[in-house]
Parts: sequence; C-alpha cells; structure tokens
Amino acid sequence: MELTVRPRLRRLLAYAAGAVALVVLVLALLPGHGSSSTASLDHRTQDVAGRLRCPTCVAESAADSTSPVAESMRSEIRRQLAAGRSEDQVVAWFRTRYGSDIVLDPQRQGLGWVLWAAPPLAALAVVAGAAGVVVVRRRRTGDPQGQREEPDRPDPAVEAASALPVGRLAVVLAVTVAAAVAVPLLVRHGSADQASADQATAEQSASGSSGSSGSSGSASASPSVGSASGGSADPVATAFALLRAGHAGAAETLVRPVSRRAGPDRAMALLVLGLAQRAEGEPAAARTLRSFVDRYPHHPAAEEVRRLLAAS
Amino acid sequence: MSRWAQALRPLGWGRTIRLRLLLGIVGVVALLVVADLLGALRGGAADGTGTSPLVGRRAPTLSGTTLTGAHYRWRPGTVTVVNIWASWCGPCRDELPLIARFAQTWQQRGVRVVTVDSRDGVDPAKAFLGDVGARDLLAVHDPDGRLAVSWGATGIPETFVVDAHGVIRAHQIGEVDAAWLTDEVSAWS
Repeated sequence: MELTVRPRLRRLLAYAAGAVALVVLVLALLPGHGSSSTASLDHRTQDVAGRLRCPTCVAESAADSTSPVAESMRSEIRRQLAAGRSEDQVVAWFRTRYGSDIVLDPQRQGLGWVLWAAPPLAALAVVAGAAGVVVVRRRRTGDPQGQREEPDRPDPAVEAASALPVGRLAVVLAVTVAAAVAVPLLVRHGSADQASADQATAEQSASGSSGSSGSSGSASASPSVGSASGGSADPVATAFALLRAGHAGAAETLVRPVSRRAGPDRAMALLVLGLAQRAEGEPAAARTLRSFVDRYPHHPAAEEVRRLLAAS
Repeated sequence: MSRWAQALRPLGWGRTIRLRLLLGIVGVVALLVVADLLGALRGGAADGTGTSPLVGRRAPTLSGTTLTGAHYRWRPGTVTVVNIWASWCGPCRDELPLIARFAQTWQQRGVRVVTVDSRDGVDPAKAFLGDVGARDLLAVHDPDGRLAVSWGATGIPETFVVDAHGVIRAHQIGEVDAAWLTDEVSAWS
C-alpha cells in the first residue's frame, strides 16, 4: 500500500508545483491590462483611466472620480485612444506630465518589484512547505521500516532527493517573510507621498470648487474638513463623500443634525446640507445656503455659494 | 515553529537552518528599511514648489481658439508666463488682475503672458475678465480641460514660466504673487 501511495503523492506534488509555476509565469508574462482591439472606446478609456490616479483625490482613480481634473483626463485619454495611440502610450504620456505617482500599477523597478514578486513567492512557499511536510513525515514514519519497504532503492539518493526541498524551503520562506515586511513599508511610503500631495492640492481647491461640484476630490481635500478627516466617523466628511457619490438624500439625513447645533463643524454641515438639498431639487436649498453665507461670510466657499445663489 | 524544528531535526538541518533563516531575514529586512529611509529622504528633498515633473523639460504645445474667437498657437522665442484659470475659480478673481498688470508691465521687455481658460464657458469667462479688469488678457479657451491636463495641471489656478527656448522653468500650484512672477521671470529673461 505505502509503496504505491508515496510515489503517487510525490508525483502529485511535483505536478502541483509545476502547475503553480506555470500559472505564475503566464500571469507574469501577460500584459496586465491588455485589451482586445474589439473593446469599445468607452471601455478602453475607462481601462486606461483606471490605471491612473486622480491627482486631486484621495485613493481614487481617474476612472472613478468626478473631479474636473479626472473628467479632463478621461476626455484626453479618449481623444488619444481614438487617434490610435496604444493604452501604454497614453499612460506614458500622463507619466511624463504628472510623474510616476500618477500610475496606479506599482512599478516593476526599484522596491516596487517586491510587490510583484510577493504573490508568486508566497505560492512557491506554500508548495515548498507542503513538499517539506510530506518529505519529513515520510522520513519520520519511514525510517524504522524504510529498508523493509524499499529494499531496492539506494538510500543516499533518497536522502539527497528529500533533503533538497527543505533547503529550498528555508530560502523561499526567508524571502517571503522579508517580502511580507516590505509590502507594508512600501504601502506606508506610498500613502505618505499621497498625503503630502493631497495637502498641497487642498490649498488650491480652498475656495474655487469645494462646494459647487465636489471637485476637490473627497471630503479630506476640503480645507474645513481636512483637519478632522482622519477619522471616518466624522459625519460631515462622510456626508460630503456621499454627496459627491450622488447620494444626496443620505448625505442630507446624515448632516442635518450636525447643521442644527453650534460647533466647529457647523459651517461645513450647513454647506453640505444646502448642496444636498439643491441636488435633491428641494426649495429649502436656497434658504440653507443663504443661512450658510450669512453666518459664515468669510468661509472659503462663501463667495462661490453667493454666486450660486445669484445665478439661480 | 517548534513542530517544524522537531520535524527538521532528524534531517540534521535544525539549528543551522534556523540560524541562517533568521540571519537572512534580518539582513533582508534591514536592507529594505535602509532603502525605505533613503527613499523617504530623497522624496522629502524633492518636495517643494517646483512640483511638476515638466519643470526642466520642453513645454507641451499650447494652441487653440481664444475667447475672442481667434486661433492662437504659442511658439517659443521669448520668456512666457502661462496661467491657467477659470471664471468659477475663487482665487483667480484676485490673481488675474495681477497677471494682467504683469503682462502690461513686462510686454516691453519681451515677456509674453498666455492664459488658459479651463473648463469654462466663453460667456462667463468674458464677463469675468471684464469684472476683474483684465479684458485684454490673451486667453486660450480650453472647454474640456485637456489643455490644462497636457500641461500636467491638477487644479486651478496654476502658473508656469517657460524660458525663451521653450523649457518650463518654474511651476506654481495655486495663486502666485507679484514677487514670485518677477523673480522667476527675471531669472530666465
């Protein structure tokens, strides 16, 4: 019995390892975002926009964001694709203008390679680990009776064959653990860069557009919420995000209690409430916005709201 | 871990392999930490006002229809200030009069000022220029913001200084002041 099971197990493991290696290779060689020539222009535009970061947003791609710069980016992507440029060429065009941070794919250079190498290495570690366990179990149970069961096999060869995966396993494990440490390091680094960029853009979006079209990207890019945006429990920031995402009704419900009580958040709460009501087409919108302007005449968004009121 | 160690001991790998593994991991992690710190230092040094990667490179093309309906195509040759604005942008209301005054003052010295009216309607943009007393400013209309994106702009306002050879020399996100304009333009003219 044992004689027939063990070789089969080993063969199975070998096949499994081979299969994993093949899958990893194929995935690595495949162009990540390759699309067929038949894909529609809309689809390809979204595809490229999804590979680019919206420069004024927090963790949003140019495909998802409703900010003006993201809209302009999509329009430019579309024009270039229609003109026959490849998706990679378009991404490269943006990289020269906005720097490599604009690209959402981790780069296959510098420390970025660790991000690419980690998943296949982890898969290899699992396979090697499984092989190690099987070999060790085999040797532990097989040692006392090994001679009886496999009399015709030369022992040193078996020893060498079974010892090798353990050595490899150690190396693979070490690299995998190191990669596991490196990934958080890289991610932290990336988010720090983004935070500083967001801070820079928050200033410029200070008065222009934070209210009217939600162009400042997200709640934390708006100056008045910026300081408090660390916690996601901030109802005003959440309401602002909801409003931007097109859920004006939910934003209104969430922000209404805050807009009624005095506090540092009240200005922003009134503004979000007014804009949400406006989006819902409620007549109360003008009243709310007017009370915002009256109460906070020097708010960075006050001038825009005044213009909005004058226009409507 | 102890189960692993126990399992590996009969093979004669126990202690050495654990030691090597540990040393290997410590070494790799130390390397990564050092690399991360170096990267952070380099990134920190790169931060500043000249945020655009286009600084030091050739300026993208700048052409289109102006707010007055004429066709305009910018060509290098003299120092040029490129300002991106919109009528819906609050800071632009303060900045554009300054840009217009600067354009007038520096015209005799061969400095050009080209503005890009981005994501804006022609009528509100014209009314806005009238409001702020900058009716004579050359403004290329950029209705869908593609011109601004081709210059690597992230928002409005943004200002670039391009030297006579067509290389971008300075970039400012947000409002500029007279001192910034004078310093940057003087440095390249």
